[in-house]
Amino acid sequence: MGYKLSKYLYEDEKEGYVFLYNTYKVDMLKIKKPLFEAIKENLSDIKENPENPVIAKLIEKRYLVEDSVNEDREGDLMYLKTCHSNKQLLLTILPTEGCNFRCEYCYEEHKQNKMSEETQEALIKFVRKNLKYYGGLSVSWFGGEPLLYPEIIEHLSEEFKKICKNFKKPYTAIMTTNGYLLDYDMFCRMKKCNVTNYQITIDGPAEVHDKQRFLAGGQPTYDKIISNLTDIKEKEKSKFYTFSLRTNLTVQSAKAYPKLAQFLKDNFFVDGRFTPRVRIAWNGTNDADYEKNIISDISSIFGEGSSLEQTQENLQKSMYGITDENALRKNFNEIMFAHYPCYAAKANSFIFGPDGRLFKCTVHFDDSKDGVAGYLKPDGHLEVNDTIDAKWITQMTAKDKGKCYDCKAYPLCQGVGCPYKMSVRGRRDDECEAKVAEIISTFRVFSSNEKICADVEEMLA
Amino acid sequence: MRDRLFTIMEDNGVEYEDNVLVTEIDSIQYMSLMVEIEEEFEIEFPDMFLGENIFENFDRLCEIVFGLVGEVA
Repeated sequence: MGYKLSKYLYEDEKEGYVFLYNTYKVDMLKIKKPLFEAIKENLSDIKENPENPVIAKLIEKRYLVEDSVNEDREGDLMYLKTCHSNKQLLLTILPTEGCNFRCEYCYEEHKQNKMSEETQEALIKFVRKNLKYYGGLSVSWFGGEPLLYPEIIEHLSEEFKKICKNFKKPYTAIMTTNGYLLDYDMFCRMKKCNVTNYQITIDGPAEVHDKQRFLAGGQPTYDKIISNLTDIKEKEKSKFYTFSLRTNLTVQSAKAYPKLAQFLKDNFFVDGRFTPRVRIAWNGTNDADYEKNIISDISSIFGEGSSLEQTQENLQKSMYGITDENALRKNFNEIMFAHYPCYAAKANSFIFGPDGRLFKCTVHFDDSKDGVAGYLKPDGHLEVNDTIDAKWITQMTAKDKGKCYDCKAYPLCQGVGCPYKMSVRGRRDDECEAKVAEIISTFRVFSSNEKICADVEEMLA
Repeated sequence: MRDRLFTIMEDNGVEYEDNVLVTEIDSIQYMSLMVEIEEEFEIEFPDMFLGENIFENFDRLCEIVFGLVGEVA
């Protein structure tokens, strides 16, 4: 039979070990270099159910695969399972595009609209008509600021829960909110709407956050958000309501990040319901150079490093070093799964604007050519523009696909990642290189932790 | 109480055969079920149950929930 090393492995050498980073299983381990070399030399002699426990472990965890395996096709299958699944009907609903904030980097136009009763009823009919094709309903409340109109969320949630109950299917919900209106009373109202996870942005200590994220009238927001979160943390005892505290890195927020990180660690991350999420701030374009420039500008804050890879590594060490060991695995998984195809690439994902327009992406609402993929009719029928939809929910051209098959990160982004960048606008080599650098650096940063990256021989002990 | 618990699971599309779970539960659904059970029975699951898939066996689930409520399953 014979075996081969999976093509989806990155190899790294440190201190007498070979570190293997497995993008197919999102896993890593280390193995003494002489042992690894010996295994590599005799791959063709390995038989089914090998007696050597190290080899058996490497096969079990898919570091070694049978010679005959076509891994390209398995990568393709992952894409189909991720993006063409009917496991869940995924709805992102914008009760409004309006917002009480005017964040300096926000790409939205803050249209002061509100989902009409007619659109709400059409949405309910859409769910009633279509839920039978899916295993459950999952709603993500988005905006604008969704909590400007909690009554819309309550009405739709009540109806969705009834429909799910009739179909005997699960109903789950999450929310992206700026957190300003999320006091404990509002949190309790949202509990009844099954909202169990929130993404809330805190860009720095007050002096930095309030310069980046302020009210429409210019007033500060930091104290109110922290007060709301503290109140919820103290009053809510259930462990199943979770909060991703996001920081959008600009040059100024990056400089203040160590101070913020210490504050969040002391006050929130000690409670396992709160986890960090750090991203480069959006600038309203898809300019890869912008991200590179920010990383370059902030690299000196997080340590010296000339290459993009080294800079990414330094940055991640600083960002993720703030959590305790128990949160590490969760953080690692969350960071790696963020490279999976975005919801915008999924055929089962629908984003509805307040007026019933169908979007595929929450960032490119206003792309005049490809932003709007259809319209919801009053009877709940969804009229889809297949030409636009196809750009979002299929992989890129065959020419680019060949490059994906040569890429060790294919099982992560599955040739899609961000479909706007990869398919709608078109793939760029430099963006893929930056993405790969980020993936490798994440593996490297977390590989220093034995709980995540164990010695394969010690796994057997 | 066993019926109430069974109804929650059934309404969420969770099925058992001979008390053994036959439905796949993802992380969001897991959170949602835990929250619904906590609300329905006015209980809080302590840390000791967080690492365990308490839905795997319906009898075991009843045992845990009724234990937290203070009743015999």
